[in-house]
Amino acid sequence: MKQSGIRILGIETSCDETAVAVVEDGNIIRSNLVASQIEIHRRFGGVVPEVASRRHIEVIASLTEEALKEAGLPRQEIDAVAVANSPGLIGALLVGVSFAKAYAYGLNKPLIGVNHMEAHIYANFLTENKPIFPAVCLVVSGGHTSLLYMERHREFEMMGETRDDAAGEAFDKVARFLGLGYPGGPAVQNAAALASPGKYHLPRVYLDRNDFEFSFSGLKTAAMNLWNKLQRSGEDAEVNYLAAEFQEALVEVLVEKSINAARQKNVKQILLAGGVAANARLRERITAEASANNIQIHIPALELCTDNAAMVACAGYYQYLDGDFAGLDLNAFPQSGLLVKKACG
Amino acid sequence: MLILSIDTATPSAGVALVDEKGLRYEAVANTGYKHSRTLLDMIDVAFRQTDYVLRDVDAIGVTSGPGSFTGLRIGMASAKGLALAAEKPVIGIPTLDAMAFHIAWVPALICPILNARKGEIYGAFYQGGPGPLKRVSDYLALSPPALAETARTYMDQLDLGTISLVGDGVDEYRSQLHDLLGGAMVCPEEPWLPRASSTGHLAFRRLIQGDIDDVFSLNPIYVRQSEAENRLAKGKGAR
Ligand SMILES: [Zn+2]
Repeated sequence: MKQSGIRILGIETSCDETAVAVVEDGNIIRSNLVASQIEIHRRFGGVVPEVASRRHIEVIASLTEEALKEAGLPRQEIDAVAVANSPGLIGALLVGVSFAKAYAYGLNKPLIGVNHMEAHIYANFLTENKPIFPAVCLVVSGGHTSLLYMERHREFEMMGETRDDAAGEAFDKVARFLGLGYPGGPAVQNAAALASPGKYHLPRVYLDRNDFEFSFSGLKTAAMNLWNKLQRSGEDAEVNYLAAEFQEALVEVLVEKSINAARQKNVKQILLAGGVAANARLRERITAEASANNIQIHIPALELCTDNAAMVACAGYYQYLDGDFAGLDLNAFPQSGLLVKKACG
Repeated sequence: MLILSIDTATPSAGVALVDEKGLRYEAVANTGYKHSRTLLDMIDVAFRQTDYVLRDVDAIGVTSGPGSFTGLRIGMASAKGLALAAEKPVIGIPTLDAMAFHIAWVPALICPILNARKGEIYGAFYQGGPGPLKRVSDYLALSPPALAETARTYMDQLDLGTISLVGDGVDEYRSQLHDLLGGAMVCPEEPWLPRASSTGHLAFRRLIQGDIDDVFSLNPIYVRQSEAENRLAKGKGAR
């Protein structure tokens, strides 16, 4: 097997973005295309699985051809096809998985099934300045909030995760409740940017200060209750200030637990991953805190935090190096047991 | 000229190879929705059990709908992936056309029906033999009474005394349709789900006419819009 010039075609359809990318040697992005469906789902106020799946099948073929064209590669020069096959919306995943399987088969190239959350973490490796192990990784998205410990590639030890809502889910629910719009993360961030935290007070939910479990459902409910109360009281309720306080309360807990996790494991590297890693306040605060604690922080470029296929190709590259290929029976799964690989065996 | 055809529109998955001499190979797995796991393996077995290789294939035929939304997309995504990677044209064959083909010679109004759930059936109307099979309606999603009424209209229009139904919709609605259509209704015993071989035969006919589909714009025929679109249209809010 060749050791350099390895080109992986990555395919991603787990939620509402159809994405195809070509990545060489795990960090040279030859092309990275995303067909976003945000506008399509906006009128529904959230991602509709059937609508997302219909859009994926409409664009997957042309997006793949464009990605190869932009990479300047004939398709025969691809070394493997990597596809996100879990977790995600099952009908949406199945479009990418079915396409990728047939494409790899038609090219007679190996197929690699990639975990979408693992791919988010690997977005941190799409750079010259790659993270060094051991490291602690904070994964924050619409479906996940976890702190993981990594000693080497592709091994994850779960340190703690959310017991209820994921951070991104809390953003979405609060944004909808406050009428800030869709998608929730950017909507709250934009509102918060027009105000500052502290005018209202929301709790910082740490559960046990010494463990790495999260809980955001209480914070979400507190924000909603406070909003209702403000509106009943006749004071002028200022939604931007509430958004700012909510964001601050959530970010503060994420940052403090991440720093504590790095300290406990005595590591000097923290990786931030997942869609919520695009949040400006989180990026700002975790960068400041890490530097104050003499820890190096890795955060993917903005466009690599949200769903994309370069991260899938990157994770696929490390599986390629391990010879971890999928069979013709590769399937899609809505949930995945990843990120507990090591802890649960 | 060789067609590789795939069908995953219903709980039955199928793969076939069809050439000018007719059906060369067919496999059917009527074992429920496992298509994503089994389809590519079935294709691989088809090649291994015949002397053909993917390079020999001149076009890929795929059952294009209506049917299970997810099933249709598994077939369509697989067809597109194969077609692009192996540089083959793709030909979409509507599910109901493939089903009507099973009994194309019957001199009656032919109506393939698939259980569409929610009290409806997917169906379409065709004028059967002795001439070539001719579709006379759109692909529809109808309640059994609406289907019977539409059937009556076409029977009068085409001066046909009988209607022949095929498909798994017959199983579910046999007695209700019998009450509605009376002695005019005839059905084969076998429910006749769509078959990859029928899709293959019809794709072959199109290929020799040079009538192929564009791999980028070919899409499943859903007939129905998504539930979320329905609710939005009715002003109920999508969620
Ligand atoms: Zn994601």
